[in-house]
Amino acid sequence: MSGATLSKVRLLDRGLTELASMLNEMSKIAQQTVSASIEAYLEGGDVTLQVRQWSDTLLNYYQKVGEKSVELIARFQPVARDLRFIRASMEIAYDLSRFGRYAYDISMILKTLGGRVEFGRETVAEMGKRTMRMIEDSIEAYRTRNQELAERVREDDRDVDKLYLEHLQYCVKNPPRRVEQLISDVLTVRHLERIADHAVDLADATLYMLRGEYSSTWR
Amino acid sequence: MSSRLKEGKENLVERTKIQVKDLSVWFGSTQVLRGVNLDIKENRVTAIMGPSGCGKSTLIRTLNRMNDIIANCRTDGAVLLNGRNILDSTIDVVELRRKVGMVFQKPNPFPKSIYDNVAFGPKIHGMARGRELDELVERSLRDAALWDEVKDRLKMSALSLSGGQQQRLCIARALAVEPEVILMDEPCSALDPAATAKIESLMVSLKKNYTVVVVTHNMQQAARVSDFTAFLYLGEVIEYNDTKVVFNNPSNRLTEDFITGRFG
Repeated sequence: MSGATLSKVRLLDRGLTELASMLNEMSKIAQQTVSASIEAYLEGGDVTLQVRQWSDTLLNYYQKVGEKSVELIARFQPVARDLRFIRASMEIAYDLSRFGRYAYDISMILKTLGGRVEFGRETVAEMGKRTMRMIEDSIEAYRTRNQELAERVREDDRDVDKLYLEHLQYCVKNPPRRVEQLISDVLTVRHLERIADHAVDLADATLYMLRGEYSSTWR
Repeated sequence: MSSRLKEGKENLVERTKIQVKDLSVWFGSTQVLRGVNLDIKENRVTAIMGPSGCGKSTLIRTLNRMNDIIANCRTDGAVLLNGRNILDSTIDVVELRRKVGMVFQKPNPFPKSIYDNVAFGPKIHGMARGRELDELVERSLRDAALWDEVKDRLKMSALSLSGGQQQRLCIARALAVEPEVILMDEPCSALDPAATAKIESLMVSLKKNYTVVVVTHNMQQAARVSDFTAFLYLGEVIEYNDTKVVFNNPSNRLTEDFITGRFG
């Protein structure tokens, strides 16, 4: 088919670029926020203030992405892949903001319950590593529009879920003497499991953006 | 028709009102439509969109043989209305145009009263007179959502109405001869947003009793009012599907580029 002349500039593109730019910035902050909270949990440090600040920044960006998205819909009535990109952006911004919130919750555990936690440390380290990789992969899949990588995030989530459930069973059978260690551990692996779920949501939003349909799998 | 299209209509059995089969149209040596195939569904609004010169108006004008008045027009293929080929030379074109009414881009009321505009068609077709004609005029004006605005001034000139009212009068005029299909060629392009909203609302309510086919440059209008959308490009149907699918996830890249404003 020939004869179509591609126009160079669409006013909508400026807004879409702005959305993409906000998501890129959020991605960087979200990764450093989760990473800092896991590291602090394992090493026994207090990063609550810093993580809170980053988490607030993510929340602020999430609201801005929503406002910009609504503005673009109202002004340009986008359709097809433009509309899907906007919808996916709103959902991805939400997932990124949730990374910040769970990271803050993890950072608060030691502050509230005190001290370095030895119980379940290896599992937290392993789940933390896998969850961080899922975050990185989901963001990379979005950035590079890589469907294969996005699919892999969903597969990786099954491993994280398995680790989580096995660890809960281990906790029931082998509870530590100090109950605060158990609470800290269980809360942390629970938050990590939820972070992994949001990484899957992020990957699903990318797949929706590219394919035009959502996976109906419930997690 | 794709299975996805059928699934999208809530399991309703869609009946084809007009079947366009391998339709090609030439004006002199210029081929304007190229092997168009299209099933237009009964009691649905079908939008035909595409860039200027793609053949939208030619296609819609073929559906009631308005192209016959163009001397060098040649047509090949078939257009079946209720299963009968309307391109057949034995077809009564006057009767065809009663069944398949048309509303044009610019409102074109006759320089007569509001009443006479609506009564004109029924009179020449010998459909009604006297009280029966009055009732038909009222019903047509009501169906066109104009009755309340003109019921006290039916004897006034139609030309005294606003543009939006004139267009609704033209729709009432088309309805008065009790058509089965209403063709609309850019019916809102000369109207302001408020008048446009009324016509759009009317299009959707009309499908209860009629099959509506609308040609529009305005993609958002197609998205708002239609059940099915056809995208025409260089005389060919590039994509035809449930409107929801066309505007959310079109299957053809050319459709996507057109509706997202990347060309056209």
